[in-house]
Amino acid sequence: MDIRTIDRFQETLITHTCTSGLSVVIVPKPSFTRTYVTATMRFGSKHLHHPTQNQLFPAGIAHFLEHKMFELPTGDAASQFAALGATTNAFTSFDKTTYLFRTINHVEEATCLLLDMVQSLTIDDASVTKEKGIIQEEIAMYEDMPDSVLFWRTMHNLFVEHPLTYDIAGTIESVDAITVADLITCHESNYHPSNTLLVIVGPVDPVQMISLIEANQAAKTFQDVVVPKIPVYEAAIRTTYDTITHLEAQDKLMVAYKQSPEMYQGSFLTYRFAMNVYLEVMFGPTSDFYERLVDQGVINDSFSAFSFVEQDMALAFFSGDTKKPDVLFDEIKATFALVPTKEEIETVQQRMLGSFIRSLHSLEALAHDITNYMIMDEDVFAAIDVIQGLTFEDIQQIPAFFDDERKTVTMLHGKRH
Amino acid sequence: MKPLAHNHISTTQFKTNLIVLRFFSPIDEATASAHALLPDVLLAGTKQHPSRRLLQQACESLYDTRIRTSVMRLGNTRVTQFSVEYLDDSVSPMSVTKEAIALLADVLYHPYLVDGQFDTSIIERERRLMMEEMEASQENKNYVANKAFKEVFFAGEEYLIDVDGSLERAPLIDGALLHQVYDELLASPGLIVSVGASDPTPYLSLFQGRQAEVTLVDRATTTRTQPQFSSEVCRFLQASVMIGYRTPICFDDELYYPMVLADSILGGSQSSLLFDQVREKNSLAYSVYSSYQGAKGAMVISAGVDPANVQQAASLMLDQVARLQAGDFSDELLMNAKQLWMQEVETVYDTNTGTAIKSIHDWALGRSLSKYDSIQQMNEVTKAQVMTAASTLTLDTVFAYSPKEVSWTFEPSIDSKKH
Repeated sequence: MDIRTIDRFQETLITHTCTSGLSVVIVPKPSFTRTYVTATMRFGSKHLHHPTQNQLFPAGIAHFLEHKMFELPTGDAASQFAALGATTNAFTSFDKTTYLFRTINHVEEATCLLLDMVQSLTIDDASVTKEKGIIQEEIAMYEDMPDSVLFWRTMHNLFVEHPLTYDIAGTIESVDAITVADLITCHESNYHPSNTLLVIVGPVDPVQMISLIEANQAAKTFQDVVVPKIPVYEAAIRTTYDTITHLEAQDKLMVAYKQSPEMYQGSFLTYRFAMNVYLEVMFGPTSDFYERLVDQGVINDSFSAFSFVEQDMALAFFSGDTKKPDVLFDEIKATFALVPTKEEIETVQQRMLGSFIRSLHSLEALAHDITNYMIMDEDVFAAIDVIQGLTFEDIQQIPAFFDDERKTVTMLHGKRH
Repeated sequence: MKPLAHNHISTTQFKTNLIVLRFFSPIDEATASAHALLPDVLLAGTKQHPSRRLLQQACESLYDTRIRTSVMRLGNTRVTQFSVEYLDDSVSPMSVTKEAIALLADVLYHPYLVDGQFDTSIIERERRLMMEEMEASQENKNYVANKAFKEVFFAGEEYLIDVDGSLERAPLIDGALLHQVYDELLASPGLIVSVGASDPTPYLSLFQGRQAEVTLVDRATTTRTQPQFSSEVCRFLQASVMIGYRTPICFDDELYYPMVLADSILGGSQSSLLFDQVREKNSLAYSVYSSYQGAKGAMVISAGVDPANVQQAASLMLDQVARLQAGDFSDELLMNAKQLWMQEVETVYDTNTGTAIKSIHDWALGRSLSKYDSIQQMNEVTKAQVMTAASTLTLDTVFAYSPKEVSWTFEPSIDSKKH
């Protein structure tokens, strides 16, 4: 058990690796009444490769498995969490699946229940068939959301064969193709404790919790570890320009750029935060770009610029409702030629530091930040030093990311008018 | 005018300090849109920082100080809220308390004016942004379906006036009307609650106003002798089924807590009657839930379903209310509902915003500020009380918002309470 105190932020971080391989992080929060616990597997929508055979699972399998994990031999897990006074949920992203609960009492029992839930799978044909109907209604729900439709269409256009070309939930057809055997294989190969991170934030006794978790793990046997296959980076872009329609929507534009992670020169985290600062300074609500285009009626408060700068993907997006997509696109490209001032950069750095400190008093934000960084083998508290240490030169390298040959432009036309 | 009444909740739980001001005012159709726009115009610039950009940059340089505004409805009362959240001195690289509170006071009392009037170009821009946001909300199926449902359910009631404004009224807002509602706002009764390690009392004399005397409950209802069955054709892919019940129980009622539990048992969790039957057992929906509106005396149950399954889902949803009223639910479900509610209360108190809002709400209602009092009252609720509360639910409206025409096949003479 490793204990680390961060005096500057008045926080303590305890880390431990169980004999089963399970990684545990505990942040004691004695002034809080609730405890928030997450169990995260490094298994997300992009992990479609079969562990031993040269084939892909149907899209959406990680999300489908997330739905099925709540069925236990002893009944519905949600009801068992509720009986302990805990609320539970789960979500799937590109690179991971997270299960969580919040509770005031019975933290120890609920933690064991969470581990038991993710470390066993109880399914049959009938339950899988039943779940298909629920997930297909979930997909139908998102198809009625134009912003969601535009984002997933853009992802589809950015990739050709890479699994990120698919929606996290999959499609009506791919969900229909998922079998019991597929789900069992995915569970066995990706839900091993060595592929799992448990984060506990709340008023708990760390020594007692780690002892409990070790005992829970010691009572179980696990198959050999199968290292998940990571999809190979794909340089090609499927579609450069695309137009779609949606019956109930405003006109929207999304411009996205894709680069190879190889372009990060130096630290990956430095590049990630340099990108964040750059987008905020040049395109955020306090930028000249934003103020001017709002005044001109080109954009409104729906506009945003965001990125996914990860170890194995590098994407940046500009998106918003607009009646003048051509003007917006030209203005975005013209802004890449401008240089931010040091004062603008410092102001955004101050904001990001304040935002980070603020997040430390949210159990949920802290647990998710720790998870997001540890999944990448990075340190959440070191991240703030990276933000503060960014140089003008770090920011200056970012415009090279926006190569006109590495983009896709997707327009969504509403049919309401 | 004198300094607004203030209550400070001292805690070292949070890294920030939060100050929330709430003004309470009556809602009327003629000024609702202007009242909705006013906070946006105030945030668009102050005398010292005469643009939205400069004001936001001032906030950012104070280590992400956040000034937020909102307009909401509680019963027939409009609540206009302003808040400022800033880092506590104990974790901030430098103290920002005085400057952060002064920024909020500037937003409220020293807006950017031209010749004593709000700037016309700012009004036009903010109004356009507000109208574009309203238009964009039309692509949110839940919002649109809920609005269509409310127009049927609450037809003829003041409750239908939208505090977010309307596309019809927004173009009529000019500088004179905006100044009128600005004056009305500052003359409205108000309250301040602060939460954090540092008591900001020395700085709060900046905020003046009347003491709050407000009514937060609206019991006015349209009396219906028979439930109405209605539908509207939409252009979304998925249908929404929405069912509305009336109840005389509001949040100032003795049976308020039993009704909160009834709502939780019916559709407030993943072990609720609706979730179990409509989603888990019959795979008819991904999203299904109930929502009790304690300021109005209404319960709404909703589900997103395949258009072909509208009638089956509605029938099943009505059956669950009948089960609730008949006491056809386990003691375990009741116990779970109590535990979940307590969890929600603790969740509220584990965030500074939740702590402030709950406290200000209880204060306005003249209720105890102690969470332990409300937890004890909830703990003492019996199954019989839940059934008594549920028995007051009277079926009012069954509504479908569907891409296909719906001809309801229910008998129109059904027992309005028990289906």
